[in-house]
Amino acid sequence: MIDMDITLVIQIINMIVLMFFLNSVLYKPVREVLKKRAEKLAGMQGEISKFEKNAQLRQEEVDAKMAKASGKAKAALDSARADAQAAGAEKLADIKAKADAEKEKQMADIKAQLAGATSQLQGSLNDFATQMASKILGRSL
Amino acid sequence: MEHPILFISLILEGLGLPVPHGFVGHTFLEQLCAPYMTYTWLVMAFLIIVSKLTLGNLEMIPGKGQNFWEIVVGGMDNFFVDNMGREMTDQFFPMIATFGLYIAVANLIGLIPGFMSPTSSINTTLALTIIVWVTHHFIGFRAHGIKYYKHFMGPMWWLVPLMLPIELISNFARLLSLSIRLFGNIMAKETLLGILFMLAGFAFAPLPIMVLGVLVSLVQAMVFVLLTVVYFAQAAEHAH
Repeated sequence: MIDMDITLVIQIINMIVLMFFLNSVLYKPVREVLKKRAEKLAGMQGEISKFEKNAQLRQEEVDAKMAKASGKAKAALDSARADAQAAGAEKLADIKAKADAEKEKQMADIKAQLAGATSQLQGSLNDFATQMASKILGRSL
Repeated sequence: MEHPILFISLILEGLGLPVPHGFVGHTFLEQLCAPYMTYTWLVMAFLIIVSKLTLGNLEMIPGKGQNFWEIVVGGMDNFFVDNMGREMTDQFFPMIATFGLYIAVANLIGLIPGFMSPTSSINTTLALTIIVWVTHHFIGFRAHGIKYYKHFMGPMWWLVPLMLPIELISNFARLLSLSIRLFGNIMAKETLLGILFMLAGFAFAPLPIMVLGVLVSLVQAMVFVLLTVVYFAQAAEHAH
């Protein structure tokens, strides 16, 4: 069962021959392809990181532009709002002045009318008092 | 115990060549025509032809055959690199991968009626083991020069008288353990299958034994490759 002979040496030679054949037919080409693919993937990885960096820079640029535009819009809005507020206040003051003038005028009119009516009543009051005294006394004064 | 039917031996006998009817032959021609030799050449031809046919033109996006070989070769490459480093893998990949593929195929063909496992002969397994044993000492001497002897001296100088014989015996035992483990397992599988072929008919060996045979075949190929890688890595390491 355990007999060693010259075939031991032949088997060693067989194995060495098989190593050389398989190395040239199988291992070398396949390992070459695996190596090339790994290199290609590493290259692609570099390109991907380059593109990612570019995209990030672009995004930062867009963000900066957006922030700038947003600032500009805010300033325009604020100035428009301040303008509108100033114009409104001016208009309001104008209207108020006009209303005050009208009020003054109306008050002056009423005062004049009141003075007229008072003096007229005063005149009538003397006449009315004389009539009342004559009636009481029963004779003309 | 002789195999019931070995088709290569039948062909050789038909051609008038002297096929031995025991385990080994007596004349040189008989020894060359011994089944484990003829089936070794069959396995070698199978591996070379199948890899040549299935690889075809290699492309960046692999086809079916290329995909299979890329998984096998790439998987082994990664395993070797993890255990021995890139430099040693590049140097010894063809040797260890060849052992792995040859042992796996040689073990498995014994499960097919009409074939036998060349690894069920001690001449085959010892041939593989001698290559591994010599190579691992070559790696050791190349890496450490004459200081490689420190691998056999143990951790302290006063332990040398005890450690040196133990280390030498354990190192020489690698020759026996590596070869006899593979030979014994496959021989047992072959003998069991041979008996079952005779009892249950040559075309129907009981399925559970066939499943066990597949398992043993692959596990033994893996164990041989694993131990080879460990021996190579140990030889290149610094002595404790």
